[in-house]
Amino acid sequence: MNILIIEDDLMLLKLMTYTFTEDGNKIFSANNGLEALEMVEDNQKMDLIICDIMMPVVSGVTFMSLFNQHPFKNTPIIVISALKDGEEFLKKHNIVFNHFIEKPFGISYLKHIVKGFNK
Amino acid sequence: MKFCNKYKKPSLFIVGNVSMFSLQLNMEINEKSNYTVYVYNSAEDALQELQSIQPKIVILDSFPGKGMNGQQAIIAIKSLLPEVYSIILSSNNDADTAIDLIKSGADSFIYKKENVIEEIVDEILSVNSNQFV
Repeated sequence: MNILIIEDDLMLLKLMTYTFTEDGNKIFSANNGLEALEMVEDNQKMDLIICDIMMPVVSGVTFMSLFNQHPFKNTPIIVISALKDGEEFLKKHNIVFNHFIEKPFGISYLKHIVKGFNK
Repeated sequence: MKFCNKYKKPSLFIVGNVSMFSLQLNMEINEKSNYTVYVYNSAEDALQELQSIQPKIVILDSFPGKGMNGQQAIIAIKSLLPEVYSIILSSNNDADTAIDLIKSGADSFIYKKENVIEEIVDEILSVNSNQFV
């Protein structure tokens, strides 16, 4: 799968990149929503997006709002966030995503969730 | 900044610690206005992108984080982008502070009280209607 990972915590980004590369995926990493938007604007088709919420420059919510206007808007999105009650918060604001994982999480749990999207 | 051109949306900066407050403000602006929101942890980070992105509005905490304070930041921002509309947020509801910030170039001063997000969004919408109608 082509997986876009958007995360400003560089250690977590590195860990996820390593893990999913080892599993045979092609990883595109971005430190914030702006870098991610520029990648998808190059018409790089992603099979899955893993997105943090609170990031500098362009946040996860702005990324998801703008990505919802993109031709590839049906790409599944897994949100990872330390935001308390984040899932309800995003739904209340009509942010479109497929799965919410609260930080901190085990990488094996994330692998399990990602596997479910690899069909 | 290709996507800004593509979506033809004006830009707005929030300068202060990336926090629950900045996220809530970001979401309210996304929902109620046509601005693309950029969030910066410090005035220094925002200044690096100011001329390339050319935001219409800058919302600046009076203590935006490490480095410059609000007054130093507003002077630097206005020297690089004089036409930008600047809103300073302060936890200090003091007239002298507000006057000092206005003298330094701030266009508006908002005291960070309860329901401040609503007040900020109202101000943004009023700037928007004055500039883009």
